[in-house]
Amino acid sequence: MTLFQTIISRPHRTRPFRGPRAPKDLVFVVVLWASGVLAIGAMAGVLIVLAIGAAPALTEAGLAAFMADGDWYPTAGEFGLVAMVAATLAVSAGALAVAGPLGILCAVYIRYYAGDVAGAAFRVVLMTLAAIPSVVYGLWGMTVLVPHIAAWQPPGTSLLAGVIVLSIMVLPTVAVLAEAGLRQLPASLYLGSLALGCARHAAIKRIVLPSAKGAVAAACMLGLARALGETMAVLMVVGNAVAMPDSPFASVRTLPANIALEMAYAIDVHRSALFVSGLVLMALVGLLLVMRWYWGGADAAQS
Amino acid sequence: MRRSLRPFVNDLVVRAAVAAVVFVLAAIVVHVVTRGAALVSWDFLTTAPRAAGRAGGIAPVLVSTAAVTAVALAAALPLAVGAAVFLVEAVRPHTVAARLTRGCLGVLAAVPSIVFGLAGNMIFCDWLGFGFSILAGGLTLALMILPIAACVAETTLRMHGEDRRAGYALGLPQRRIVWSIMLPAAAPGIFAGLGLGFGRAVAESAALIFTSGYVVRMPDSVFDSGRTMAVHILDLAMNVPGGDGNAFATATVLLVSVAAVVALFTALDGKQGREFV
Amino acid sequence: MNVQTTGPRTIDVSPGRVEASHICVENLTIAYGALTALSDVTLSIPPGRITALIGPSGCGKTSLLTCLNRLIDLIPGARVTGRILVRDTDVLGRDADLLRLRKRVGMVFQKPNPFPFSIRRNFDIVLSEFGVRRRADREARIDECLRAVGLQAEIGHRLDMSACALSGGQQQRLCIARALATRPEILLLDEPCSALDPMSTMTIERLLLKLKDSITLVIVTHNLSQARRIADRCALFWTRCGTGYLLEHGTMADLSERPQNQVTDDYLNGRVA
Repeated sequence: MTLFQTIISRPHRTRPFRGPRAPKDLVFVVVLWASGVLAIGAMAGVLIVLAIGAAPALTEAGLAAFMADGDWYPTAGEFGLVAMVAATLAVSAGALAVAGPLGILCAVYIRYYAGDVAGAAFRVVLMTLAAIPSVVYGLWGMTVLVPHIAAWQPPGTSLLAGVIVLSIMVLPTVAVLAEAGLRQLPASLYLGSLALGCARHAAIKRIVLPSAKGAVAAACMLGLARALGETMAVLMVVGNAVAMPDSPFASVRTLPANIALEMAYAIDVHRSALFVSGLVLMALVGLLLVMRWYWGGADAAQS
Repeated sequence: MRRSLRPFVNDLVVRAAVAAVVFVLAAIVVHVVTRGAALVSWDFLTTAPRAAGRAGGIAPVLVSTAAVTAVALAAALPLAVGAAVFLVEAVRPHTVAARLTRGCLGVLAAVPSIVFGLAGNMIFCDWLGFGFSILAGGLTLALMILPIAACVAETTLRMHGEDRRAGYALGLPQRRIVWSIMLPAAAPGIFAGLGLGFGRAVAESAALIFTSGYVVRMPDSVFDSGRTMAVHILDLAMNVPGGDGNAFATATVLLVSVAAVVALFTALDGKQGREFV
Repeated sequence: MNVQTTGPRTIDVSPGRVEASHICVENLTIAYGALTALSDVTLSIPPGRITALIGPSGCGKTSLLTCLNRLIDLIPGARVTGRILVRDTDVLGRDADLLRLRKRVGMVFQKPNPFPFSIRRNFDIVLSEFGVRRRADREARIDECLRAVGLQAEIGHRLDMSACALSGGQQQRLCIARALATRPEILLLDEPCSALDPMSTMTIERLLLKLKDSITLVIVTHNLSQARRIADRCALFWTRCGTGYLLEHGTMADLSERPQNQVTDDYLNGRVA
């Protein structure tokens, strides 16, 4: 036994199938790596496209023009996005303010209150809510919600309508993700607190929820991200006037709605300006993702 | 609040929340279906729209919807499975490549649909020259379905770790293990993921108005433009005065199709229930 | 000499016996990241016999087993030093043909893991990969393997049934049969009976005794009575400061009646867990 035949300690690379490589094996590896690269490329592609589309407007008007508190008259060269950004944030934050707590309550219900059958049935309800297309929500909002609000305070198409519709749409996301987070907790946490004499509600409020803080926060962040991106339902009920959201009954326009409404007939700089607003929207979503990654911990890569 | 009342009130709050959610769902579905079902008939499903959609049926819309969805699912399946197998077999969990891929899929999942519309418009309609077409719309939707389908596929594949080990122990090469063992074993779960993707695809409108087009006409090929059900509802509700009736009818048809397909996929998936919203 | 064989990867279809192989482990050390699981093991495993690796949990027995067919490569972060000679071929060599190795060294796991397809397909996947293409040959081989594990009578006529519909004991025997399909010279078994009921355990033990002469069997077991019943030689592993090592080896009689360590005596006579 010579020195050559002794293997120096070295980390084993993951090639657990080493052997004579048939051409079929090579093709397989190439296809696999191509798929992985494509997934990365898809995301890169979206961002690159936004950047390319936005470049003309940015070079011509400069970023400051978009961030200034001006009006949005793109054909006249005015590109103030602030009102729409504010509206987008207002609608989304409002929706989360409603859907967040409600979603958590629903998750708590499924996990700790409902029996097997009731829990499964309610999950079906949530999945159905999630499956309803946004245009249908918009249609319902237009024909039921808006007239009701109009009866209270005209014109009806308002920030409030947007918040209500959006919160219904975001609720299933928050509820399902929060429930998944609660399920990750060790059973002994809840059962142990009950065994110590805590009432159910106290155990949940004081022990379970604080322990699941990370997952619940992540659920809310993802709900908020969805709210930010929602276009159609909001478009149909908020009135679409470009104005700062100064009252819940004000008519506003969100960034996604703006793109949807104007893209069809926008040309040149106007079209490019819409791409800029797309970039701003992505920046908001990106910010949320970063926050979620920071606080969410291990689950952050899942969605 | 008195101590003995507290548990009662807390429980009440939870149950009230749940009841509210169920009530809202019921209210929406009932409202849409009652206003729309009356107008749905065989005629409605098989004739073309007249008078900008106020009258007539939705036949070309149904065909376009089916075509766009078919293109989307056909494109998304290999991409999602490929990405999932890549994550399970080609890279170890914590390497740069794995984290980058998972990260990109995660970001893709959060991208707003309107942004997909913009990107799809530029990539498929402009650069690749498809113009407003079912193909462009379908491929854009495939990108939207990709993250969730890949996530479900990856989770399902990882559940078959035992089979993978058995395959390696028998001296099978990796390609054989993936193709003959893991993919067939994971197939039900993968199709469930596609079912979810279908639900999302058919509900989409924002990504399609600039990619598959707005025109109502019976498409002759995937290179023609076409209008899907969701876009049709949008148009009738927003731009066509008096279009409400048919909008509800179309919405009813849409809800029924989504319910049918999701139920079908769930049944195929068997006992492995998964919640992905 | 390091002779790396990279010959044809097909199986000889003709009936007949394969010669069992001798395994020689020299100075084997296994580490997972910073933790050394097994330290400096030197052990000789005779051909055609049943060798039992015994000892409490965490001694590195399963790690040793997974090195013998290089399945340890699947664990990221595992590092192995030393030599393992399977009939004069160094299994840990850089150029070792792993696919061929695993054809020669079969493995059966603790929890039965038949593929979730039909029984026939469980075999077909393996057989067609190794060149047994003609239907008659495949049927013959499946028959031979099922007979070897005593399943031919029970399920030989129901090969299109799903493998997962079998009972636990039957599934494990099916896994053994599937491992035998490649005509291995060595069969590794990682606590094959721990998930099974006593009746199935007895059946499998009997079948291992039957297989003994033509195959070298290495079995990891926690069950000392099982080791007494079937093992020709035993290797007792123990831990010290979290690292496993080989304490003693020999026949069961040697270890029970003439132990060289107090620990051996205590463990085999039930005074220590």
